[in-house]
Amino acid sequence: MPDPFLPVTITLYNRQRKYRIPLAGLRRLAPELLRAVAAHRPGPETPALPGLEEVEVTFVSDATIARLHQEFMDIPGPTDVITFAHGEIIISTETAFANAPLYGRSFPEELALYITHGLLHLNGYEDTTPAQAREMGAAQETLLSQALAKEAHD
Amino acid sequence: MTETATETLAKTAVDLPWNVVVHNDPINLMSYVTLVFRRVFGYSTEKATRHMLEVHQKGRSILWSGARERAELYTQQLHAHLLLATLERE
Repeated sequence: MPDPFLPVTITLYNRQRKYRIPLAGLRRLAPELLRAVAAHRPGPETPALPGLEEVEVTFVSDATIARLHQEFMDIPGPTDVITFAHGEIIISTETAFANAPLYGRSFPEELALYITHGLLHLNGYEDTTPAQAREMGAAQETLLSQALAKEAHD
Repeated sequence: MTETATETLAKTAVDLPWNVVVHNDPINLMSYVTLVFRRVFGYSTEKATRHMLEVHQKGRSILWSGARERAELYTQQLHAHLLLATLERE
């Protein structure tokens, strides 16, 4: 079956040294997530994702993400994930490591969830209002479980 | 007098501009590069992002063209931010 999403590639980079991250596993999972997310568009508007050639996911420290948070969103302090419409998803491993136990997830699952979150943003999901955030939250949990199940099955 | 003035103007007019060129590198985050373009040239996020994507996709982008001294200053500032920048003449 032809893959309608093959033109978009997803590449993962590690630019931090604080935590060991399961890059190989995440690199296997990422295309599954991309396929799952691509099939889920929240509204009629054309999102950024179909127009991109590639999506770059980069794992960084809290210090790096805090700088981008401040410069681009005018918000001080670190955050879990920042998504840029040009196809760049920045993830803080430190925040993921701190958040994972709070939500009953493993560290790799938390990282995979942030990738899903970023991809959903690129495909038109927003989380500005509580209703949008709930819809997006539900979508990311569902799509992540689907991708994890599919990857385990393959 | 008038002749001298005309000559000077003509010389200035044919003086070729210097281009500040930024080249692709495998180290810097795309968003960081956008940020540096915003800061060094005072470009909007949109304009800085367009140049960043040109660097990313085509390998290089001309960020600024003009007088040599200013172009040298911009190139030095880009180097200070650890970007790969060169000065080229058209």
